[in-house]
Amino acid sequence: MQIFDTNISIILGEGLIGSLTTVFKMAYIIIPLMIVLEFAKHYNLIDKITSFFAPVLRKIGLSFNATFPLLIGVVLGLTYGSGVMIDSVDKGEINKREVTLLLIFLVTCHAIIEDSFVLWSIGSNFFILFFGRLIGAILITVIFSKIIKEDQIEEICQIKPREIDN
Amino acid sequence: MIVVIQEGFKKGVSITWKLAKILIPIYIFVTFLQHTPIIEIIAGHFEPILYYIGLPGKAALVLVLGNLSNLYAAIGVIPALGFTIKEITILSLMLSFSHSLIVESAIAKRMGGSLLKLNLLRIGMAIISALIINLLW
Repeated sequence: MQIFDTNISIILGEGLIGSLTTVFKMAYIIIPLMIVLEFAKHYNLIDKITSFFAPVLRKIGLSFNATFPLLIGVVLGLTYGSGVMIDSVDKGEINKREVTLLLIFLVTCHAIIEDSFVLWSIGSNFFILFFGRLIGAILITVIFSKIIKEDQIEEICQIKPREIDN
Repeated sequence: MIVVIQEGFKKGVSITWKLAKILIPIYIFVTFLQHTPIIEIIAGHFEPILYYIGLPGKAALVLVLGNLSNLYAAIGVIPALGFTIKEITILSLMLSFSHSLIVESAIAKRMGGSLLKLNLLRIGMAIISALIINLLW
């Protein structure tokens, strides 16, 4: 019975070489990138960038307090972003409407630097990828910030205590 | 300073290792599949739908894997299947909007989001962005 169209060892070799080449190509990009991101975290660069972006983000309905979890999520990833966000919610720094907008933004656009570089390493166009995702996330957040008024939050984002009330 | 570099290096190596563990087996598996008629059959079924977003039928494999498993699984498949730059860019943009839906839903749930709506939003963004790139490129 002939399942494959060529010798199995040839296919295995092809797979091994191809996969290892891809892994090495990505390592070249991921390792330096992680060092740069580590510097950004260590010197609290994101903290500093926050005040720069705050006025822009206020236009899409996010206050200064929501800017920090947003940037953390966009740069470092969803897990970090959600951690900071839950912390801010507990402290009462951001309201439900902002939580909803943050969620919409972060769920579509997180760890954008890492993802874009990794996908670029396998041959994708970096600029389309990076700016496409960023602009897409900003647009959808702006649309929702116009749609969601204070009293309609339950529509998209159900905060825990409310679930108990119902 | 050196500690920061070390820390970043360690993280980079650990991410690369995590990625390699997923990517290498999947890449080899797909290489084997490519030497059977299976991929052609799957691709044939999806060709008519994916045509509208500028992708060949075999891209269905990448999209399903990326959304149900994770981004790195999809990345393992892309080089193995041989796409053009335009196709890779469209696939990448779709995947960057919508990937690891199961794992990331758990995180979104913890933040108190409606999973159905958020996932529909992500998939919708992926499809719309692909349509736009396909029209403009």
